Amino acid sequence: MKNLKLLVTILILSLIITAFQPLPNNPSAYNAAIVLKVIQDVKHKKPTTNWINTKPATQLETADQLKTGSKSVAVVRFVDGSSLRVRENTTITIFADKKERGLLKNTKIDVGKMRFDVEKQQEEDEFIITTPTAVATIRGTSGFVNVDENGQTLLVVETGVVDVRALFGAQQSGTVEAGNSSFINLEGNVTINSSTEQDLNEARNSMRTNEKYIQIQTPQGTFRVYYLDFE
Amino acid sequence: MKSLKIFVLSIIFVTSLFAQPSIRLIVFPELTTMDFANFATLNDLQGAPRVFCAEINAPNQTVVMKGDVEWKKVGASDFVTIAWFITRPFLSRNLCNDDIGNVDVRIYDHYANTDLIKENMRFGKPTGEYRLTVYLYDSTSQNLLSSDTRTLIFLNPAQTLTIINPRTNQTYDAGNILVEWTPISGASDYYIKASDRSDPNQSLEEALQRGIPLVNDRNVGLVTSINLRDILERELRPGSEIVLQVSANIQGPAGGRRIYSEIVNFSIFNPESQYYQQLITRFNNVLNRLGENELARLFRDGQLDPSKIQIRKEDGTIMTFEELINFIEMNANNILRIVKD
Repeated sequence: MKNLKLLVTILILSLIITAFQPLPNNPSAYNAAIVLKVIQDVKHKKPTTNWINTKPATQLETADQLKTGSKSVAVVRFVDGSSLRVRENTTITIFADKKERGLLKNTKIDVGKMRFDVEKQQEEDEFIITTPTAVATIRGTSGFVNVDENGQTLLVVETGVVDVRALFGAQQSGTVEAGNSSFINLEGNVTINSSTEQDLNEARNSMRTNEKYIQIQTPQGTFRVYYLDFE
Repeated sequence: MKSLKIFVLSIIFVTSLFAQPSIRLIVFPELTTMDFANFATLNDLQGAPRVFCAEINAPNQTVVMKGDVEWKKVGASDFVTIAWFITRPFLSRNLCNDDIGNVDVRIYDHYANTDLIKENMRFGKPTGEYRLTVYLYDSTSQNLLSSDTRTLIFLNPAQTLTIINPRTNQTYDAGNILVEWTPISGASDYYIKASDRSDPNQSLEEALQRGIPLVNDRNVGLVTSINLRDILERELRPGSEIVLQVSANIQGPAGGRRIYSEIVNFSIFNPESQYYQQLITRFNNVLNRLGENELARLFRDGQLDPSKIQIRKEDGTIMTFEELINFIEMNANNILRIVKD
Protein backbone atom coordinates (compact mmCIF):
# COMPACT_ATOMS: atom_id res chain seq x y z
CA MET A 1 0.00 0.00 0.00
CA LYS A 2 2.85 2.34 0.95
CA ASN A 3 4.62 1.45 -2.31
CA LEU A 4 1.50 2.19 -4.27
CA LYS A 5 1.19 5.66 -2.70
CA LEU A 6 4.81 6.38 -3.57
CA LEU A 7 4.27 5.24 -7.14
CA VAL A 8 1.21 7.48 -7.56
CA THR A 9 3.09 10.48 -6.09
CA ILE A 10 6.00 9.96 -8.49
CA LEU A 11 3.60 9.62 -11.40
CA ILE A 12 1.77 12.87 -10.52
CA LEU A 13 5.05 14.74 -10.01
CA SER A 14 6.41 13.59 -13.34
CA LEU A 15 3.17 14.64 -15.07
CA ILE A 16 3.38 18.12 -13.49
CA ILE A 17 7.02 18.50 -14.51
CA THR A 18 6.20 17.48 -18.09
CA ALA A 19 3.26 19.90 -18.27
CA PHE A 20 5.37 22.88 -17.26
CA GLN A 21 8.22 22.17 -19.65
CA PRO A 22 9.08 25.34 -21.64
CA LEU A 23 8.76 25.34 -25.44
CA PRO A 24 11.74 23.63 -27.01
CA ASN A 25 14.67 25.90 -27.65
CA ASN A 26 15.11 24.40 -31.08
CA PRO A 27 12.64 26.35 -33.23
CA SER A 28 12.48 23.58 -35.79
CA ALA A 29 10.57 21.46 -33.29
CA TYR A 30 7.85 24.09 -32.83
CA ASN A 31 4.46 23.00 -34.16
CA ALA A 32 3.34 25.91 -36.28
CA ALA A 33 0.26 24.63 -38.03
CA ILE A 34 -1.86 21.62 -38.77
CA VAL A 35 -3.11 20.34 -42.12
CA LEU A 36 -6.88 20.16 -41.80
CA LYS A 37 -7.84 18.95 -45.22
CA VAL A 38 -6.11 17.19 -48.07
CA ILE A 39 -7.67 16.84 -51.51
CA GLN A 40 -5.85 14.69 -54.03
CA ASP A 41 -2.07 15.18 -54.31
CA VAL A 42 -0.55 17.01 -51.34
CA LYS A 43 2.99 16.44 -50.04
CA HIS A 44 5.14 17.93 -47.31
CA LYS A 45 8.74 17.74 -46.18
CA LYS A 46 11.17 18.91 -43.55
CA PRO A 47 14.33 20.76 -44.61
CA THR A 48 16.31 17.55 -44.32
CA THR A 49 13.84 14.96 -45.60
CA ASN A 50 12.20 13.95 -48.87
CA TRP A 51 8.63 14.75 -49.86
CA ILE A 52 6.04 12.50 -48.28
CA ASN A 53 2.30 12.26 -48.82
CA THR A 54 0.36 14.48 -46.46
CA LYS A 55 -2.57 13.19 -44.51
CA PRO A 56 -5.18 15.23 -42.66
CA ALA A 57 -4.05 16.21 -39.15
CA THR A 58 -0.39 16.32 -40.16
CA GLN A 59 1.48 18.75 -37.91
CA LEU A 60 3.69 21.25 -39.69
CA GLU A 61 6.72 22.51 -37.85
CA THR A 62 8.59 25.67 -38.64
CA ALA A 63 10.56 25.47 -41.91
CA ASP A 64 8.38 22.62 -43.20
CA GLN A 65 7.34 22.81 -46.83
CA LEU A 66 4.03 21.77 -48.35
CA LYS A 67 3.15 21.44 -52.03
CA THR A 68 0.01 20.64 -53.94
CA GLY A 69 -0.25 18.90 -57.29
CA SER A 70 -2.66 19.44 -60.14
CA LYS A 71 -6.33 19.73 -59.08
CA SER A 72 -5.26 19.45 -55.47
CA VAL A 73 -5.98 21.50 -52.36
CA ALA A 74 -4.73 21.64 -48.79
CA VAL A 75 -6.21 23.56 -45.89
CA VAL A 76 -3.69 24.57 -43.22
CA ARG A 77 -4.60 26.08 -39.87
CA PHE A 78 -2.28 27.96 -37.56
CA VAL A 79 -2.39 27.84 -33.79
CA ASP A 80 -4.19 31.21 -33.64
CA GLY A 81 -7.01 29.92 -35.88
CA SER A 82 -5.82 31.65 -39.06
CA SER A 83 -6.06 29.44 -42.11
CA LEU A 84 -4.57 29.05 -45.55
CA ARG A 85 -6.30 27.32 -48.45
CA VAL A 86 -3.46 26.23 -50.65
CA ARG A 87 -4.66 25.78 -54.23
CA GLU A 88 -3.28 23.52 -56.96
CA ASN A 89 0.37 23.55 -58.09
CA THR A 90 1.49 25.66 -55.15
CA THR A 91 4.49 25.38 -52.87
CA ILE A 92 4.69 27.06 -49.48
CA THR A 93 7.06 27.06 -46.55
CA ILE A 94 5.76 27.64 -43.04
CA PHE A 95 7.78 29.56 -40.49
CA ALA A 96 6.65 30.22 -36.96
CA ASP A 97 8.78 31.76 -34.29
CA LYS A 98 7.70 32.21 -30.69
CA LYS A 99 9.29 35.52 -29.80
CA GLU A 100 9.57 36.84 -26.29
CA ARG A 101 6.37 38.81 -26.76
CA GLY A 102 4.17 37.26 -29.37
CA LEU A 103 4.17 34.79 -32.21
CA LEU A 104 5.56 35.47 -35.68
CA LYS A 105 4.00 33.47 -38.50
CA ASN A 106 5.53 33.76 -41.91
CA THR A 107 4.32 31.78 -44.90
CA LYS A 108 6.57 31.84 -47.91
CA ILE A 109 4.84 31.07 -51.18
CA ASP A 110 7.22 30.30 -54.04
CA VAL A 111 4.66 29.77 -56.75
CA GLY A 112 0.91 29.17 -56.97
CA LYS A 113 -2.26 30.42 -55.38
CA MET A 114 -3.38 30.60 -51.82
CA ARG A 115 -6.31 32.03 -49.91
CA PHE A 116 -5.68 33.48 -46.45
CA ASP A 117 -8.18 34.02 -43.67
CA VAL A 118 -6.19 35.57 -40.87
CA GLU A 119 -7.59 36.01 -37.39
CA LYS A 120 -7.18 39.42 -35.81
CA GLN A 121 -3.60 39.45 -34.54
CA GLN A 122 -2.60 40.42 -31.03
CA GLU A 123 -0.41 43.51 -30.86
CA GLU A 124 2.75 41.46 -30.41
CA ASP A 125 1.82 38.85 -33.04
CA GLU A 126 2.52 39.07 -36.74
CA PHE A 127 1.20 37.22 -39.77
CA ILE A 128 3.33 37.66 -42.84
CA ILE A 129 3.13 36.26 -46.34
CA THR A 130 6.34 36.38 -48.30
CA THR A 131 6.56 35.87 -52.07
CA PRO A 132 9.67 35.99 -54.28
CA THR A 133 8.98 39.68 -54.93
CA ALA A 134 7.05 41.00 -51.93
CA VAL A 135 6.26 40.78 -48.29
CA ALA A 136 2.73 41.37 -47.00
CA THR A 137 1.86 42.02 -43.35
CA ILE A 138 -1.65 40.96 -42.49
CA ARG A 139 -3.85 41.74 -39.50
CA GLY A 140 -7.34 40.24 -39.39
CA THR A 141 -7.75 40.03 -43.12
CA SER A 142 -9.03 37.69 -45.80
CA GLY A 143 -7.88 37.58 -49.35
CA PHE A 144 -6.02 35.75 -52.02
CA VAL A 145 -2.46 35.71 -53.31
CA ASN A 146 -1.29 34.50 -56.70
CA VAL A 147 2.41 34.14 -57.49
CA ASP A 148 3.23 33.45 -61.13
CA GLU A 149 6.19 31.44 -62.35
CA ASN A 150 8.33 34.60 -62.58
CA GLY A 151 7.59 35.44 -58.97
CA GLN A 152 5.32 38.41 -59.71
CA THR A 153 2.62 38.75 -57.09
CA LEU A 154 -1.07 39.55 -57.26
CA LEU A 155 -2.65 40.26 -53.90
CA VAL A 156 -6.47 40.51 -53.65
CA VAL A 157 -7.84 41.87 -50.36
CA GLU A 158 -11.46 40.95 -49.55
CA THR A 159 -11.68 42.22 -45.99
CA GLY A 160 -9.33 44.17 -43.73
CA VAL A 161 -6.05 45.82 -44.70
CA VAL A 162 -2.69 44.50 -45.89
CA ASP A 163 0.60 46.39 -45.89
CA VAL A 164 2.69 45.31 -48.84
CA ARG A 165 6.32 46.01 -49.71
CA ALA A 166 8.38 45.00 -52.74
CA LEU A 167 11.59 43.20 -51.87
CA PHE A 168 13.75 44.21 -54.83
CA GLY A 169 14.24 46.99 -57.38
CA ALA A 170 12.22 50.11 -56.58
CA GLN A 171 11.10 48.51 -53.33
CA GLN A 172 7.83 50.39 -53.40
CA SER A 173 5.29 49.83 -50.65
CA GLY A 174 1.60 50.49 -50.09
CA THR A 175 -1.51 49.69 -48.11
CA VAL A 176 -4.15 47.57 -49.80
CA GLU A 177 -7.67 47.96 -48.47
CA ALA A 178 -10.69 45.69 -48.84
CA GLY A 179 -11.98 45.57 -52.42
CA ASN A 180 -8.58 46.42 -53.87
CA SER A 181 -5.83 44.37 -55.45
CA SER A 182 -2.12 44.98 -55.65
CA PHE A 183 0.33 43.80 -58.28
CA ILE A 184 4.03 43.67 -57.43
CA ASN A 185 6.29 43.19 -60.46
CA LEU A 186 9.88 42.14 -60.82
CA GLU A 187 11.05 45.76 -60.87
CA GLY A 188 9.73 46.30 -57.38
CA ASN A 189 6.77 48.47 -58.41
CA VAL A 190 3.60 48.18 -56.34
CA THR A 191 0.35 49.13 -58.11
CA ILE A 192 -2.93 49.19 -56.25
CA ASN A 193 -6.31 49.22 -58.04
CA SER A 194 -9.89 48.22 -57.42
CA SER A 195 -10.20 44.46 -57.71
CA THR A 196 -11.47 43.31 -61.08
CA GLU A 197 -14.39 40.90 -61.39
CA GLN A 198 -11.86 38.23 -62.34
CA ASP A 199 -9.79 38.89 -59.20
CA LEU A 200 -12.86 38.70 -56.99
CA ASN A 201 -14.11 35.54 -58.69
CA GLU A 202 -10.77 33.88 -58.20
CA ALA A 203 -10.71 34.90 -54.55
CA ARG A 204 -14.25 33.56 -54.05
CA ASN A 205 -13.44 30.34 -55.88
CA SER A 206 -10.44 29.82 -53.64
CA MET A 207 -12.91 29.05 -50.86
CA ARG A 208 -13.91 25.83 -52.60
CA THR A 209 -12.40 23.14 -50.44
CA ASN A 210 -15.31 20.75 -50.16
CA GLU A 211 -15.05 17.64 -52.30
CA LYS A 212 -18.38 16.46 -53.71
CA TYR A 213 -19.45 14.19 -56.52
CA ILE A 214 -22.11 13.57 -59.12
CA GLN A 215 -22.97 9.96 -59.79
CA ILE A 216 -23.64 8.81 -63.34
CA GLN A 217 -25.17 5.35 -63.61
CA THR A 218 -24.72 3.78 -67.01
CA PRO A 219 -25.19 0.25 -68.37
CA GLN A 220 -21.37 0.10 -68.46
CA GLY A 221 -21.00 0.90 -64.76
CA THR A 222 -21.24 3.78 -62.32
CA PHE A 223 -19.01 6.82 -62.72
CA ARG A 224 -18.38 9.59 -60.24
CA VAL A 225 -17.47 13.12 -61.24
CA TYR A 226 -15.68 14.64 -58.25
CA TYR A 227 -15.64 18.42 -57.98
CA LEU A 228 -14.74 21.18 -55.54
CA ASP A 229 -17.60 22.99 -53.90
CA PHE A 230 -17.87 25.72 -51.29
CA GLU A 231 -17.76 24.63 -47.66
CA MET B 1 -76.85 24.73 10.12
CA LYS B 2 -79.69 22.98 8.33
CA SER B 3 -81.18 26.29 7.25
CA LEU B 4 -77.79 27.38 5.82
CA LYS B 5 -77.62 24.21 3.68
CA ILE B 6 -81.12 24.84 2.37
CA PHE B 7 -80.17 28.43 1.58
CA VAL B 8 -77.05 27.39 -0.38
CA LEU B 9 -78.94 24.72 -2.32
CA SER B 10 -81.66 27.23 -3.14
CA ILE B 11 -79.10 29.67 -4.48
CA ILE B 12 -77.55 26.95 -6.70
CA PHE B 13 -80.98 25.87 -7.96
CA VAL B 14 -82.09 29.43 -8.78
CA THR B 15 -78.76 30.22 -10.43
CA SER B 16 -79.03 27.15 -12.63
CA LEU B 17 -82.57 28.08 -13.61
CA PHE B 18 -81.49 31.50 -14.84
CA ALA B 19 -78.09 30.46 -16.28
CA GLN B 20 -77.73 31.55 -19.92
CA PRO B 21 -77.22 28.52 -22.19
CA SER B 22 -73.81 28.68 -23.79
CA ILE B 23 -71.66 26.88 -26.29
CA ARG B 24 -67.89 26.91 -26.26
CA LEU B 25 -65.84 25.69 -29.16
CA ILE B 26 -62.68 23.76 -28.42
CA VAL B 27 -60.28 23.22 -31.30
CA PHE B 28 -57.54 20.84 -30.41
CA PRO B 29 -54.33 22.81 -30.09
CA GLU B 30 -52.19 19.90 -31.20
CA LEU B 31 -54.25 19.54 -34.33
CA THR B 32 -52.05 18.44 -37.18
CA THR B 33 -52.37 19.98 -40.58
CA MET B 34 -53.07 16.55 -41.96
CA ASP B 35 -55.97 15.96 -39.57
CA PHE B 36 -57.39 19.33 -40.43
CA ALA B 37 -56.98 18.65 -44.14
CA ASN B 38 -58.96 15.45 -43.69
CA PHE B 39 -61.64 17.34 -41.83
CA ALA B 40 -61.87 20.32 -44.15
CA THR B 41 -62.11 18.25 -47.29
CA LEU B 42 -64.42 15.51 -46.05
CA ASN B 43 -68.13 15.64 -46.49
CA ASP B 44 -68.63 13.32 -43.57
CA LEU B 45 -68.18 14.71 -40.09
CA GLN B 46 -68.36 11.32 -38.45
CA GLY B 47 -65.59 9.94 -40.60
CA ALA B 48 -63.32 12.91 -40.08
CA PRO B 49 -60.67 12.95 -37.40
CA ARG B 50 -61.58 14.67 -34.15
CA VAL B 51 -60.90 18.31 -34.85
CA PHE B 52 -63.25 20.20 -32.56
CA CYS B 53 -65.57 19.69 -29.61
CA ALA B 54 -68.41 21.88 -28.45
CA GLU B 55 -68.94 22.34 -24.75
CA ILE B 56 -72.67 22.95 -24.42
CA ASN B 57 -73.97 24.29 -21.18
CA ALA B 58 -77.78 24.13 -21.29
CA PRO B 59 -78.76 21.59 -18.68
CA ASN B 60 -81.78 19.48 -19.53
CA GLN B 61 -82.63 21.58 -22.54
CA THR B 62 -83.27 20.28 -26.03
CA VAL B 63 -81.09 22.22 -28.42
CA VAL B 64 -80.04 22.40 -32.04
CA MET B 65 -76.47 22.98 -33.10
CA LYS B 66 -75.32 24.53 -36.37
CA GLY B 67 -71.72 24.54 -37.53
CA ASP B 68 -69.97 26.53 -40.26
CA VAL B 69 -66.57 25.88 -41.82
CA GLU B 70 -65.29 28.85 -43.80
CA TRP B 71 -62.06 29.35 -45.70
CA LYS B 72 -60.07 32.40 -46.66
CA LYS B 73 -57.49 31.66 -49.33
CA VAL B 74 -54.02 33.20 -48.96
CA GLY B 75 -54.29 36.70 -50.42
CA ALA B 76 -58.12 36.74 -50.40
CA SER B 77 -60.03 39.33 -48.38
CA ASP B 78 -63.17 37.39 -47.46
CA PHE B 79 -64.11 34.05 -46.03
CA VAL B 80 -66.23 31.70 -48.12
CA THR B 81 -68.24 28.81 -46.76
CA ILE B 82 -66.78 25.39 -47.42
CA ALA B 83 -69.43 23.48 -45.52
CA TRP B 84 -72.14 23.79 -42.92
CA PHE B 85 -74.40 21.41 -41.04
CA ILE B 86 -77.38 21.67 -38.72
CA THR B 87 -78.49 18.96 -36.31
CA ARG B 88 -81.88 17.74 -35.34
CA PRO B 89 -82.93 18.69 -31.78
CA PHE B 90 -81.04 16.75 -29.12
CA LEU B 91 -80.78 16.82 -25.37
CA SER B 92 -77.86 19.11 -24.69
CA ARG B 93 -74.52 17.51 -24.02
CA ASN B 94 -70.92 18.09 -24.87
CA LEU B 95 -70.06 16.67 -28.25
CA CYS B 96 -67.31 16.49 -30.81
CA ASN B 97 -67.47 16.56 -34.59
CA ASP B 98 -67.15 12.80 -34.84
CA ASP B 99 -70.21 12.39 -32.56
CA ILE B 100 -72.41 14.24 -35.01
CA GLY B 101 -74.57 11.79 -36.92
CA ASN B 102 -74.60 9.38 -33.98
CA VAL B 103 -77.76 8.01 -32.42
CA ASP B 104 -78.75 11.01 -30.35
CA VAL B 105 -77.27 13.79 -32.51
CA ARG B 106 -78.64 13.44 -36.01
CA ILE B 107 -77.86 15.73 -38.92
CA TYR B 108 -80.95 17.53 -40.22
CA ASP B 109 -79.31 19.23 -43.17
CA HIS B 110 -75.84 19.90 -44.50
CA TYR B 111 -74.03 21.57 -47.36
CA ALA B 112 -70.58 21.21 -48.87
CA ASN B 113 -69.05 23.32 -51.61
CA THR B 114 -67.42 20.59 -53.65
CA ASP B 115 -65.47 23.03 -55.83
CA LEU B 116 -63.82 24.60 -52.80
CA ILE B 117 -63.17 21.21 -51.26
CA LYS B 118 -61.46 20.10 -54.48
CA GLU B 119 -59.43 23.31 -54.49
CA ASN B 120 -58.34 22.60 -50.93
CA MET B 121 -57.40 19.07 -51.86
CA ARG B 122 -55.28 20.34 -54.71
CA PHE B 123 -53.22 22.35 -52.23
CA GLY B 124 -52.50 19.09 -50.47
CA LYS B 125 -52.59 20.60 -47.01
CA PRO B 126 -54.46 23.40 -45.26
CA THR B 127 -53.55 26.75 -46.71
CA GLY B 128 -54.81 30.14 -45.58
CA GLU B 129 -57.32 30.78 -42.79
CA TYR B 130 -60.12 28.50 -41.69
CA ARG B 131 -62.93 29.72 -39.44
CA LEU B 132 -65.03 27.30 -37.46
CA THR B 133 -68.23 28.67 -35.93
CA VAL B 134 -70.80 26.81 -33.86
CA TYR B 135 -74.24 28.15 -33.05
CA LEU B 136 -76.54 26.90 -30.31
CA TYR B 137 -80.27 27.27 -30.95
CA ASP B 138 -83.30 26.28 -28.96
CA SER B 139 -85.27 23.22 -30.06
CA THR B 140 -87.21 25.21 -32.67
CA SER B 141 -83.86 26.27 -34.22
CA GLN B 142 -85.32 29.77 -34.44
CA ASN B 143 -83.79 31.38 -31.37
CA LEU B 144 -80.03 31.68 -31.17
CA LEU B 145 -78.87 30.97 -27.62
CA SER B 146 -75.12 31.25 -28.01
CA SER B 147 -72.29 30.96 -30.51
CA ASP B 148 -68.54 30.64 -30.56
CA THR B 149 -65.88 30.83 -33.24
CA ARG B 150 -62.24 29.95 -33.73
CA THR B 151 -59.91 30.81 -36.58
CA LEU B 152 -57.06 28.55 -37.62
CA ILE B 153 -54.30 30.03 -39.69
CA PHE B 154 -52.09 27.91 -41.91
CA LEU B 155 -49.71 30.35 -43.47
CA ASN B 156 -47.30 27.91 -44.97
CA PRO B 157 -48.65 27.03 -48.38
CA ALA B 158 -46.02 24.35 -48.97
CA GLN B 159 -47.23 21.11 -50.47
CA THR B 160 -47.50 18.04 -48.35
CA LEU B 161 -47.25 15.79 -51.35
CA THR B 162 -44.53 17.25 -53.53
CA ILE B 163 -43.09 15.83 -56.71
CA ILE B 164 -39.30 15.88 -56.43
CA ASN B 165 -38.74 14.60 -59.94
CA PRO B 166 -39.45 15.22 -62.81
CA ARG B 167 -39.08 18.96 -62.41
CA THR B 168 -41.21 21.53 -64.11
CA ASN B 169 -39.96 22.73 -67.50
CA GLN B 170 -37.03 20.30 -67.61
CA THR B 171 -36.35 18.01 -70.56
CA TYR B 172 -35.79 14.31 -69.99
CA ASP B 173 -34.76 11.31 -71.97
CA ALA B 174 -37.73 9.08 -72.70
CA GLY B 175 -36.15 6.09 -71.04
CA ASN B 176 -34.89 7.83 -67.97
CA ILE B 177 -37.71 9.54 -66.13
CA LEU B 178 -37.73 8.66 -62.49
CA VAL B 179 -40.86 9.93 -60.77
CA GLU B 180 -40.07 10.74 -57.13
CA TRP B 181 -42.24 12.39 -54.50
CA THR B 182 -42.25 13.17 -50.80
CA PRO B 183 -44.04 10.70 -48.56
CA ILE B 184 -47.02 11.85 -46.56
CA SER B 185 -48.16 10.36 -43.32
CA GLY B 186 -51.27 8.24 -43.41
CA ALA B 187 -50.91 7.31 -47.08
CA SER B 188 -51.92 3.74 -47.97
CA ASP B 189 -51.23 3.93 -51.72
CA TYR B 190 -49.89 6.39 -54.23
CA TYR B 191 -51.33 6.95 -57.69
CA ILE B 192 -49.75 8.39 -60.82
CA LYS B 193 -51.59 10.15 -63.58
CA ALA B 194 -49.81 11.47 -66.68
CA SER B 195 -50.95 12.80 -70.04
CA ASP B 196 -49.65 14.54 -73.13
CA ARG B 197 -50.14 18.27 -73.28
CA SER B 198 -50.67 18.74 -76.98
CA ASP B 199 -51.86 22.34 -76.80
CA PRO B 200 -49.63 24.78 -74.89
CA ASN B 201 -52.70 26.97 -74.28
CA GLN B 202 -54.29 24.19 -72.28
CA SER B 203 -54.00 24.57 -68.53
CA LEU B 204 -52.06 21.82 -66.80
CA GLU B 205 -55.28 20.59 -65.17
CA GLU B 206 -57.09 20.44 -68.50
CA ALA B 207 -54.21 18.59 -70.10
CA LEU B 208 -54.17 16.09 -67.27
CA GLN B 209 -57.91 15.51 -67.26
CA ARG B 210 -58.67 15.67 -70.98
CA GLY B 211 -55.52 14.43 -72.68
CA ILE B 212 -55.14 10.81 -73.69
CA PRO B 213 -53.61 9.30 -70.56
CA LEU B 214 -50.09 7.95 -70.64
CA VAL B 215 -50.65 6.65 -67.14
CA ASN B 216 -54.24 6.50 -66.03
CA ASP B 217 -54.32 6.95 -62.29
CA ARG B 218 -52.16 3.89 -61.77
CA ASN B 219 -51.88 2.56 -58.22
CA VAL B 220 -48.16 2.12 -57.61
CA GLY B 221 -48.46 1.00 -54.00
CA LEU B 222 -46.67 2.47 -51.04
CA VAL B 223 -43.49 3.58 -52.77
CA THR B 224 -42.14 7.08 -53.27
CA SER B 225 -40.39 6.61 -56.60
CA ILE B 226 -40.99 4.73 -59.80
CA ASN B 227 -39.58 4.72 -63.30
CA LEU B 228 -42.22 6.23 -65.55
CA ARG B 229 -41.34 3.74 -68.28
CA ASP B 230 -42.47 0.86 -66.06
CA ILE B 231 -46.03 2.14 -65.82
CA LEU B 232 -46.58 3.72 -69.22
CA GLU B 233 -49.73 2.64 -71.03
CA ARG B 234 -48.50 4.02 -74.33
CA GLU B 235 -45.17 5.19 -75.67
CA LEU B 236 -43.83 8.68 -75.01
CA ARG B 237 -43.52 10.79 -78.11
CA PRO B 238 -40.09 12.41 -78.59
CA GLY B 239 -40.38 16.17 -78.26
CA SER B 240 -43.76 16.01 -76.51
CA GLU B 241 -44.75 17.82 -73.33
CA ILE B 242 -46.05 15.74 -70.46
CA VAL B 243 -48.16 16.68 -67.42
CA LEU B 244 -47.99 14.48 -64.35
CA GLN B 245 -49.61 14.37 -60.93
CA VAL B 246 -49.14 12.09 -57.95
CA SER B 247 -51.88 11.51 -55.43
CA ALA B 248 -51.97 9.69 -52.13
CA ASN B 249 -54.84 7.73 -50.75
CA ILE B 250 -55.32 8.47 -47.07
CA GLN B 251 -56.91 5.61 -45.23
CA GLY B 252 -60.27 6.29 -43.68
CA PRO B 253 -63.94 5.34 -43.75
CA ALA B 254 -65.51 4.70 -47.15
CA GLY B 255 -62.18 3.90 -48.77
CA GLY B 256 -60.29 6.96 -47.67
CA ARG B 257 -59.55 10.13 -49.58
CA ARG B 258 -57.00 11.51 -51.97
CA ILE B 259 -54.39 14.18 -51.38
CA TYR B 260 -53.02 15.52 -54.65
CA SER B 261 -49.61 16.92 -55.54
CA GLU B 262 -49.18 19.90 -57.78
CA ILE B 263 -49.11 19.09 -61.48
CA VAL B 264 -45.68 19.21 -63.10
CA ASN B 265 -45.03 19.63 -66.81
CA PHE B 266 -41.86 18.52 -68.53
CA SER B 267 -40.67 17.60 -72.00
CA ILE B 268 -39.22 14.57 -73.72
CA PHE B 269 -36.01 14.89 -75.68
CA ASN B 270 -36.24 14.41 -79.40
CA PRO B 271 -33.00 12.69 -80.45
CA GLU B 272 -33.59 13.90 -84.01
CA SER B 273 -33.74 17.53 -82.96
CA GLN B 274 -30.90 19.94 -83.55
CA TYR B 275 -31.02 20.91 -79.89
CA TYR B 276 -30.38 17.34 -78.77
CA GLN B 277 -27.53 16.96 -81.22
CA GLN B 278 -26.02 20.16 -79.85
CA LEU B 279 -26.24 18.70 -76.33
CA ILE B 280 -24.36 15.60 -77.46
CA THR B 281 -21.64 17.77 -78.99
CA ARG B 282 -21.41 19.92 -75.86
CA PHE B 283 -21.10 16.84 -73.65
CA ASN B 284 -18.35 15.43 -75.84
CA ASN B 285 -16.48 18.73 -75.76
CA VAL B 286 -16.73 19.21 -72.04
CA LEU B 287 -15.64 15.64 -71.30
CA ASN B 288 -12.63 16.06 -73.57
CA ARG B 289 -11.68 19.24 -71.73
CA LEU B 290 -11.42 17.20 -68.55
CA GLY B 291 -8.72 14.96 -69.98
CA GLU B 292 -8.76 11.32 -70.90
CA ASN B 293 -11.20 9.23 -68.88
CA GLU B 294 -13.31 6.15 -69.48
CA LEU B 295 -16.59 8.03 -69.47
CA ALA B 296 -15.36 10.31 -72.25
CA ARG B 297 -14.08 7.35 -74.23
CA LEU B 298 -17.37 5.43 -73.98
CA PHE B 299 -19.31 8.48 -75.04
CA ARG B 300 -16.94 9.35 -77.86
CA ASP B 301 -17.12 5.79 -79.20
CA GLY B 302 -20.92 5.90 -79.20
CA GLN B 303 -21.15 3.18 -76.57
CA LEU B 304 -23.03 5.36 -74.12
CA ASP B 305 -26.65 6.20 -74.79
CA PRO B 306 -27.73 9.31 -72.82
CA SER B 307 -31.26 7.90 -72.58
CA LYS B 308 -29.88 5.05 -70.52
CA ILE B 309 -27.95 7.00 -67.94
CA GLN B 310 -29.21 8.21 -64.60
CA ILE B 311 -27.53 11.18 -62.95
CA ARG B 312 -27.71 12.06 -59.26
CA LYS B 313 -26.00 14.56 -57.05
CA GLU B 314 -24.38 13.40 -53.81
CA ASP B 315 -27.55 14.29 -51.88
CA GLY B 316 -29.62 12.05 -54.14
CA THR B 317 -31.16 14.82 -56.21
CA ILE B 318 -31.68 13.82 -59.80
CA MET B 319 -30.04 15.86 -62.55
CA THR B 320 -31.10 15.85 -66.17
CA PHE B 321 -28.57 15.24 -68.91
CA GLU B 322 -28.79 18.90 -69.82
CA GLU B 323 -28.23 19.99 -66.20
CA LEU B 324 -25.14 17.78 -66.01
CA ILE B 325 -23.70 19.39 -69.13
CA ASN B 326 -24.45 22.89 -67.83
CA PHE B 327 -22.87 22.05 -64.49
CA ILE B 328 -19.67 20.64 -65.94
CA GLU B 329 -19.34 23.54 -68.38
CA MET B 330 -19.77 26.05 -65.55
CA ASN B 331 -17.43 24.21 -63.18
CA ALA B 332 -14.84 22.70 -65.49
CA ASN B 333 -12.03 24.25 -63.44
CA ASN B 334 -13.40 22.74 -60.26
CA ILE B 335 -13.74 19.19 -61.57
CA LEU B 336 -11.15 17.07 -59.79
CA ARG B 337 -11.46 13.69 -61.48
CA ILE B 338 -13.85 11.19 -63.06
CA VAL B 339 -13.59 7.67 -61.73
CA LYS B 340 -15.47 4.44 -62.28
CA ASP B 341 -16.74 2.75 -59.12
